[in-house]
Amino acid sequence: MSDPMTVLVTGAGGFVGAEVTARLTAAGHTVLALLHHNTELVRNNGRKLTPGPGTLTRITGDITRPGLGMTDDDRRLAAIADRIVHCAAVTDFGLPDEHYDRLNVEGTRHVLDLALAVRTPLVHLSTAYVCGERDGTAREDELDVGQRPGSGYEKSKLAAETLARTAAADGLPVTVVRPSIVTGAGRTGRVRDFKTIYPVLRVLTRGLVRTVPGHYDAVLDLVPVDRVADLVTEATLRARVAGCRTLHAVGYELTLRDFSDVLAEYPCFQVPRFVPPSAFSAQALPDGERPYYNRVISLYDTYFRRRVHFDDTRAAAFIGRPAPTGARPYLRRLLDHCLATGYLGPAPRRLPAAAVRPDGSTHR
Amino acid sequence: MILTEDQLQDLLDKALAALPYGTEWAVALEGSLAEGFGNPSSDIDFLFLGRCEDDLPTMPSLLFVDGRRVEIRTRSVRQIADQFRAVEEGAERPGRLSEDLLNRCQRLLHSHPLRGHALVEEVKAMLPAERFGRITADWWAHRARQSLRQAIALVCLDESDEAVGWTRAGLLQTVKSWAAARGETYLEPKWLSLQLDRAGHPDVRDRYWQLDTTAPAPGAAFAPGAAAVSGSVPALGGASASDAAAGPGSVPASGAAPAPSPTPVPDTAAPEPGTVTAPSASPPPGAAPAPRSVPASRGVPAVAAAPAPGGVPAAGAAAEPDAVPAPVPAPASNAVAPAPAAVPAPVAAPASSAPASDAVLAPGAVTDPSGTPAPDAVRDHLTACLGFAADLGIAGVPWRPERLIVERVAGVTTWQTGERVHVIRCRRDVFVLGDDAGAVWRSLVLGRPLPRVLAQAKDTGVADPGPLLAAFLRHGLIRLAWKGGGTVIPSLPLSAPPGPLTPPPSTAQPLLSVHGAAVSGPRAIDLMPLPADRFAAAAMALVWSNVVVENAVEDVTGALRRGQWRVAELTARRAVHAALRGLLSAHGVHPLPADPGLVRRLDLLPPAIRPIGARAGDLLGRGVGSAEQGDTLLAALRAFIGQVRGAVGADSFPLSFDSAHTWRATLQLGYDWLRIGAHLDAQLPIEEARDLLAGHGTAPRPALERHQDP
Ligand SMILES: NC(=O)c1ccc[n+]([C@@H]2O[C@H](COP(=O)([O-])OP(=O)(O)OC[C@H]3O[C@@H](n4cnc5c(N)ncnc54)[C@H](OP(=O)(O)O)[C@@H]3O)[C@@H](O)[C@H]2O)c1
Repeated sequence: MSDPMTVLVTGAGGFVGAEVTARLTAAGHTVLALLHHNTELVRNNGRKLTPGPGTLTRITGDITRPGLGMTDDDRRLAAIADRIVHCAAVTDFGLPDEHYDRLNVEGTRHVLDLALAVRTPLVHLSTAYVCGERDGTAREDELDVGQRPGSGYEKSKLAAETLARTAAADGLPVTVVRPSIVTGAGRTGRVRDFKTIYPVLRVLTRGLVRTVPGHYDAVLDLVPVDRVADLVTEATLRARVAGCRTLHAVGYELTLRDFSDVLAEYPCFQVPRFVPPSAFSAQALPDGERPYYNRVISLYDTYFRRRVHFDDTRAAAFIGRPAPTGARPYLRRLLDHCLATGYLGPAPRRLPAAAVRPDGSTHR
Repeated sequence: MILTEDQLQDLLDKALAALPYGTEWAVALEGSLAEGFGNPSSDIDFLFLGRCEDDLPTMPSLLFVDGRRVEIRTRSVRQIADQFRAVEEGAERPGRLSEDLLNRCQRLLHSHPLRGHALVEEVKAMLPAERFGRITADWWAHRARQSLRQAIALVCLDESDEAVGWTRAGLLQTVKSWAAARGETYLEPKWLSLQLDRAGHPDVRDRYWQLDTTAPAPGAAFAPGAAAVSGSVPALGGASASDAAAGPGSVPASGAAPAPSPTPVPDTAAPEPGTVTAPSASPPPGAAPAPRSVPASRGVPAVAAAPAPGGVPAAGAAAEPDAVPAPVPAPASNAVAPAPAAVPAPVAAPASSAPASDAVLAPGAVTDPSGTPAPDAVRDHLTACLGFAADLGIAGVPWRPERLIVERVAGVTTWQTGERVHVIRCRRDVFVLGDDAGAVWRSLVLGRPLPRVLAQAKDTGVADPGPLLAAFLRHGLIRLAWKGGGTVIPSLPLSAPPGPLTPPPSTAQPLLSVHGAAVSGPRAIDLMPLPADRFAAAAMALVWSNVVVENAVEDVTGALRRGQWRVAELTARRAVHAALRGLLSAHGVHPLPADPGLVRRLDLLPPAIRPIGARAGDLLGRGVGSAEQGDTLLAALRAFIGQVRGAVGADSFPLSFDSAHTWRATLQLGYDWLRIGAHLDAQLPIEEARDLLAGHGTAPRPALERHQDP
């Protein structure tokens, strides 16, 4: 084991942050967990995180505020951190741009200020989709190549990563980890929060929207949360080896055709018809479908168009194993888990309105 | 043995005189005669054993000696050793152990030496009889479990007749397992009565015959199509299938339990040695078991008395060697009251005490139309047989339907076009489901216990969903796994290997519409008479021909308006060809003939369609030289398209372009079909369709432009 370190983790209560925190404390390191609204640390398997052998110290803060809104005591504590892992972000889609700017761009600026103050090596969570709306191979060493971001979220993540790169150019050791779409555990398909792709699957498999603009050869890259957490943890502990580089945390490439074929294996699932975006009109959707399209599916339209492949040569070499294979079996594991929990499957007679957010996701 | 040693030696000499065998062979008599069974008409089976190195032919020589059929097999010692080794190796997975292999070993081990006694004994010693008895007992036990689990499932699914069939199969396999453990390893069931007489436990024997003879007789439920997969069978109007099943000889499904008969049924079923009247193996699934001469109710009390609750399994109770952990845990919410393994008395448990919601979970408690649970002879008989099996040491078959998990079958996919549900099996066979069958299919959440799946199916409002689920099972569209026991694969000895059923293909004409395949009724599960890829390709071609016809007619109109006579001529031909392609596609013709052959190939279609060919020929030959001729052509073209539509139905050939809405609906059906086509890598009608699918292109330009929404 490497020498015990102290690591400040922002967004430690989040989907990725909690798993990173668990791995770091399990490896004997001390984690200063920066928590925001949600002060509970729950692992992906749904159980409360029990730290150890390393210790866990909870800190309350807000990345939108300078100094992350920490108390003086906490700031002193954070100043001795050996590493910072920056997971906090707003990851919901469809919010106003100001929101993303404040959280993802300004928030990152504040984290960078903190890191720059004592030159604390930083691991910054970006997204593979900073590549924007494009086809072909996106490489780890590319950043701003004049791409068109697919959403306000992507735009903000591109801006944030650009800030981190600038700090790196100024000598701050920064490793950028870019997950694709983070989904359930690789082996079990289990997932803590049903967000991002999950509400999309729910709306589509229930037949709430039956016609979706997209290309059958568009690719969605789903990465198991454990793979992301492993990579982030490694990048944190081996910051010197990781150097100032960018690592694609990517997983299983699934085309819409894969989705269509696998969904068809489930008798109770409706399989959407994908139509060329040029032939699609939201106005022409039946009245019952349109609201679901507008609220959920339209936010992900861009993913149904991109035929992008994320090259992960560096990440694979760094972590010592290539991205996993067996995309369809993985998708089945995800779907089976959703069915077992009742998240997917025939709609219950009456949905408990309070439990479901407008977009159908179930954040904690 | 019914033949003396001298008679046997004499038969052998005569056989040897007829065949070019040398004297170096050891010879043994095997088969029913050697094992003390048989009758004067039984075959004589000689096994010749040699030490040679070569593999000897597997096919027996056949000859007739003194009017008897004599079969001679030859085997080398090495071949025998290989057989025994294969049996030992396969013992751990009795589900995979071949019946033929077991039979070969059994016959040798119980053979009667006639020459070269030392070699025969040496060979027999390679697999001790006791060990072989254990292997055979496990082999039968495995089969018994499968059959009884299948029976449990079928009871739940209201498939009473088949449930009885599999119960009897399981019963027989149970007692064969028990007998094998006592050295009675003769595989075929035909001498069972003698085997049981010899096995020396009259109590077990009598109880077996008791249970066998008291199997409920098939009732009215067994009628072709009563599995309710055919649309022609009316729903049972709320009455349960078992109500309808109560035929002569079966216990009434409602009303009081039959009064126990004070005298146990005497064992009249055991035949005299030498008479081949022993009960045959259970009937194949779907076949009606022969009506029993003993009233179904008579044996019940005797049965009820037999299984001791908590009966200690016999020593060496077979664990389940093929057990595979069930992939899906039973959700805690599945509140099933498990019946004890050995159900003490089938008639003793008053079903009326069960909560109403248990009706589906405890299928014995069939609810009659008035809502009163009634005892069910089929389930009672099954639970009695389960008790018997438990008492004989066959673990793993309690009455616990919730242990049956409905599982996915690899390669089965569901595709809906419009409202029509198609299920494709192994990327090859297309089943089209009627509305009720489709609704039940759509309710399936796989990986869940059968009772829960059945409850969900009932929630669809479709009457009697059980038989529909049973049909899905039979067709191999879903499978059942026993929690901790792997996939349930019931099989009968000496019968075809188990496998999914393939019904005769649909004869519907026309076969296809743009909305989906034709179905014969609401509960239909019709098999398409063409393979999946051609099915999808034909359907896509049909949709496409609709698009082209419409486009071409508009183009004719435009050309005539501008006085472009030759253009009008050509586009009219295009429309005719497209309509003919649609006509052929709707009947499942694929690939399509080239345009010059289209008219002639209408001879492939039903005779009523053929006059369309003459009309098409006429249209294709017409020229346009004036506005008048042009108008006539257009009118004739419209009439022709109307005729095609009339012949195949507006469903196959909708008038879909009169509004943006209907145009869009047609296009969507096209996308639905493309989705299936993509799954099957089917041939797409034209390049544009390929583009549509890959998403690189756009919809047919002129059509889209004309029909853009405002
Ligand atoms: N999930 C994905 O599919 C995905 C894909 C690519 C990249 N990423 C990136 O990976 C990182 C982690 O994502 P995730 O899925 O773990 O996100 P998540 O579950 O939404 O967690 C985000 C965390 O940030 C915290 N946070 C929000 N606003 C904050 C504020 N003002 N101050 C401090 N903390 C705040 C949240 O805490 P509260 O809940 O208490 O507000 C939450 O714990 C993010 O940078 C994300 O952009 C995620």
